Amino acid sequence: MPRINKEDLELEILLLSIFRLSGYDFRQYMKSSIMRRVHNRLNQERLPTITSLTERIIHDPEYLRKILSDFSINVTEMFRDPSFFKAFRKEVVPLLKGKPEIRIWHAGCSTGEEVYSMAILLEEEGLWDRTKIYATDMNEFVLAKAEKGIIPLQKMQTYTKNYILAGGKRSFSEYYTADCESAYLKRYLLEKVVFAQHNLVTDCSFNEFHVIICRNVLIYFNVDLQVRVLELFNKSMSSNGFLGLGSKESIRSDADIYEEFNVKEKIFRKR
Amino acid sequence: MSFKKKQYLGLGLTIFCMVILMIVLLFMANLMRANMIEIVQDRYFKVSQATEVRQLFDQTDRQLLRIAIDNDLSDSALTVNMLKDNHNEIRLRLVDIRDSVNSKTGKSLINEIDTSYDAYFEMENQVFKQLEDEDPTNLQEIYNSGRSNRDTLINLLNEFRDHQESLMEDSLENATTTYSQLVTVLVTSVLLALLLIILVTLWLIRSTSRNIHSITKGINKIDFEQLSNIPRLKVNSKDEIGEIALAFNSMASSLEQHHEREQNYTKEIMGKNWVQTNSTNIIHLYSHHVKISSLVEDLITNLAQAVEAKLGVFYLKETGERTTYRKVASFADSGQAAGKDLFVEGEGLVGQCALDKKIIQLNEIPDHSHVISTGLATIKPQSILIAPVLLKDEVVAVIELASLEEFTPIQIHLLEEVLGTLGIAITNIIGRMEIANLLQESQAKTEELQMQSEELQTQSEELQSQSEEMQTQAEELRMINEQLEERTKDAELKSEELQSAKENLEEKAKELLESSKYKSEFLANMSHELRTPLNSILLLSEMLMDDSDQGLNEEQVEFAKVIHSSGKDLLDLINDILDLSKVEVGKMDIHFEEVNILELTEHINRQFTPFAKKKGLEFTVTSTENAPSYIYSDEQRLQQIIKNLLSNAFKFTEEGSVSIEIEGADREDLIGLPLIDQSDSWLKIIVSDTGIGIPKMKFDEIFEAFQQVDGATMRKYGGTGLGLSITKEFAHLLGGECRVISSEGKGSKFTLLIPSLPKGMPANIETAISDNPPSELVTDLPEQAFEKMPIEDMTNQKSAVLKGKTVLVVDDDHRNIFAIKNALEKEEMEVLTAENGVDCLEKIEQSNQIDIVLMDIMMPIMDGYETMKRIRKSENHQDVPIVALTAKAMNSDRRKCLESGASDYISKPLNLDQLLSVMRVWLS
Repeated sequence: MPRINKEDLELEILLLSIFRLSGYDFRQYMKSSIMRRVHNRLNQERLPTITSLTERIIHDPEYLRKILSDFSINVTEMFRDPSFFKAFRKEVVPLLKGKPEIRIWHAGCSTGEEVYSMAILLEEEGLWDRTKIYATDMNEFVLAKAEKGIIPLQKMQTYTKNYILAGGKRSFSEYYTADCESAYLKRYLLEKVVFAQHNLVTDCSFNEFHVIICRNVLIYFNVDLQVRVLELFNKSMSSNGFLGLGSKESIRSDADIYEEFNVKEKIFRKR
Repeated sequence: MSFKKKQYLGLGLTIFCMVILMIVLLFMANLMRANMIEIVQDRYFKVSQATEVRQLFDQTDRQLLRIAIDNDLSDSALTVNMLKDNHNEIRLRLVDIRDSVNSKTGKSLINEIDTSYDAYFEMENQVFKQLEDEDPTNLQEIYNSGRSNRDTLINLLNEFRDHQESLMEDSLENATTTYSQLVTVLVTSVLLALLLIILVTLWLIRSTSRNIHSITKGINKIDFEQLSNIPRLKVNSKDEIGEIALAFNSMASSLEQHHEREQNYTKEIMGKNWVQTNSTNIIHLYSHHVKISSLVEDLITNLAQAVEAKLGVFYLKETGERTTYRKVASFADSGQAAGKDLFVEGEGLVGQCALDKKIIQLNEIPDHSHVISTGLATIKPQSILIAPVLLKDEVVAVIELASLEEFTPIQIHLLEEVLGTLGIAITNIIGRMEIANLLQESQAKTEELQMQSEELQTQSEELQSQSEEMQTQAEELRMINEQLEERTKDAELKSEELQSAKENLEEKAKELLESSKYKSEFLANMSHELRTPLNSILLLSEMLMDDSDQGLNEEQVEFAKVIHSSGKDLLDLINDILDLSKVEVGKMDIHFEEVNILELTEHINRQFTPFAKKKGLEFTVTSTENAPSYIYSDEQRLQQIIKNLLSNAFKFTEEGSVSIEIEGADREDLIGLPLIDQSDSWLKIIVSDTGIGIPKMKFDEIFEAFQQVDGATMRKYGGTGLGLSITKEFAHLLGGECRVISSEGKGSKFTLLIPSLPKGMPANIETAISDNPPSELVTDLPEQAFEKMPIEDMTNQKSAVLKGKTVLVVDDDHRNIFAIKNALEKEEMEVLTAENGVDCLEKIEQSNQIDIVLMDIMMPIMDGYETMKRIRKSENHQDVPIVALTAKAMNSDRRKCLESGASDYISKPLNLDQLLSVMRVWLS
């Protein structure tokens, strides 16, 4: 009899159930991550096994919603890794300046902070009039948040520092107003952003972009899925388009479809 | 005769002729020279001397003649001297001539000349003598006397000269004859010599060219394309040509040998070349592959083709418990036919090969081993080769090849060549693959780390969002409160309807209830004021009712009774509301003391037995054995609870019984209570009745203020609807709980659980109680029903971030300071101002708590940059947020600001909204 890790089997069944019930396919996510999230949920719910969780998600839509929000990890910051934005501003923006229209896809935009950052950056570089950003995430709740453009006040100090480190040209406060709880992004920075639900695992290309930003999303995917998503990006990119990845990510595809543009900041270019 | 000798002879003859010729020439030249010398030296000399003597003599004679004729003695001395010199000269020459003359005629002539000259000289001397005596008279005579002598002398001299000239002519003739003879001899001898030389040369050339020609012919016959068979020369002469022929023949044979060897070498080199090319091609493959599987696949195909094998299998070593060799690639593999998939080391020839580390070649294959398959047949191989792939004497793989022909040594050599490098290549690729794997792994680890950190962040964010959720829950609770308040209002309205008779008073109560913020306090504080008029109403209505003066008619007394009873009801209501509001406001004082249960039961019995009798109901008070004899609690409140419960029971029971049981609580009863672990001793009081009961769905509602089962009930039974609310609240205050079980029409059963708390209410539980979610049948009365409105909260919170914070505004422009100060003071901030950097530093030192600094940059005395640097250097203010106020569009200024220590910057002219936003950010 083959030796089977029963927990893995349970996880497979759980992920299959989730896929069948919700259409969200996590089967090609990094197992370690998914496993940790599931165990987290088990601890919170005081459930003994993954199977018992599976049973619940099948019969209780509330559980399904919970586990889906568990799987969606939404960590983001404005001007996260400021050096990336600095490099983008210095090296990529000059190459975009000649284009009559600039289309940018933020895949996995989470609560939108990096989209706002890109909007500010392009506004300062005088490209905002010609730009359209398509910000997508699989999680509609975070998208709803992102659309609002509201940022918790206590995060703003960090963001201000990031903005400065990323080579901001004006004062950061020009882009928001704050009350005692939150800062509100100026609306014109959101006017050119289209927020839409898009699942990198199951959905396909929907336009041709000059820049694709997908930072700290691929780390949750296994290698096969990473390769597939990178190919999807490649197809969705105009010739010589740019791809920005997260600081710890890399292109692990055998096919030479990207060339390195800035190795340190993980900016790649379509071959 | 040898060619050498012939040449010696020929050349010798020539040289000999030349030498003879030379001697003849030399002899003749010598002869001619002697003639010439005689002519020139001898004859010519004598002739010239004679001529000379003649001339001298003539000169002397002329002088003498002149002297003799002229008698001019003016220069006689000079002339004498000259004549003497001439005389000496003549003498000398005559001596010379005498010495050189060797012919007889000459000698006699010269003697004669001497004699006549002597006579002449005599005459001369006489002349001289005359001259010395200066006597010219005899001169003519003297001279004339010597004339004959003089003529003789001249003739003699002429004769001598002619004689000598004739001699010279003879010699010349002689010489000419000699010369012509010489020429003849010369011509003859040269011709002879030339003839001889030509003859010898012709003979030499002819004799050598003949032999050389035959050799040339022989050499021309050689086919240089085909050096294996060279024709030999047949020259038998014993001279050099013969030797050449011999040498040529031996050269030909050695050439043949050499050619043969060369052919062998070429073959060998071609073989080596073939090996080299093939092995290079194969080695070239290595660099094309990064995966071992594709490499060996490619390799076995190429190798098999190179050695013309028809079948090839590659076994790669796998180390495990046992060393095994697994088939990883094959060439022309026909399914299962091409060998086994796995060999253990030492198993079969493949295993043996791996063990021995040597190539094994099999040439005698049994007839039935047909392993090579084509589309039509399976064929027996002629030869099988099994070879190990070694690296540092370590087998890493084994290759097996089968061929239809025997493997040639060159093929085997190629195999060896390839195998020599293959080990390294395979190990390299395996190493590379391992490195690639490790790289991937490390990359995966990095990503995983990032992932985990993100997850952690998410978790912390989740925690935060949970707290946010709790906030929203609190918000929800507030909303519920509001709703409940609404309900309270509804209830108030209902009570208003019920007590329409006492509208005035009720209006006050309503107002009391409606003033949501101050209601509770108002009620608590105004109890006295409320009760006083009510008391007077009661008192006066009672007085009217008693009608001690008998001045009222019956109807009026009845009115007074109504007024009284209504007033009393009202008082009860007010008291209830007061109690409730006190509980809600938290002003209810609870005094925990010892409560004697026996006394309590007796008290209850006493109080309600008459009431029961009056209503015609059965009333029993029972106390079980396990009931505690005393507990620590607030006796007054406990009594009030029991009283309320019993009043309710009596109120809603028309017939049957009301009973109260007092017992100790079981552990089971206490499940779900917050104080379950805080007290060992619990009192359980059960009040049962056989009244109208409560429908199950209303269980929750009856504990809410102003709730009875329905409006009809209220009208029928009266009461304020607050009794159970107060009961519940009190039960809570005492750390216990009140529960109800009922069935409609059959009666109700209220269970009261009260703990004994000798040390009073545990502090941490107090709040827990109020937050505790309701358990099954018990509903909390909203605790904060009368709390302030959340909307008002919001308006108050608006400036909460800024309110009370101290801001230091540093600007040299008073109008700016004034404007900012005004704006910030509206936000209820403490505003300090400074006019320049120095002032600012002083203010900061003086004030111990500055929350934020607004710093202008352009200032006199000390500018903003310097000020900020100094602030950052001081120990106490490294973290205070400083917002720099910069001029617009000056990027460098901003950078300078940040370098100087500013936390943020905004551009002037200031936008108030932006300023407040920034300050909120940095003060949050």
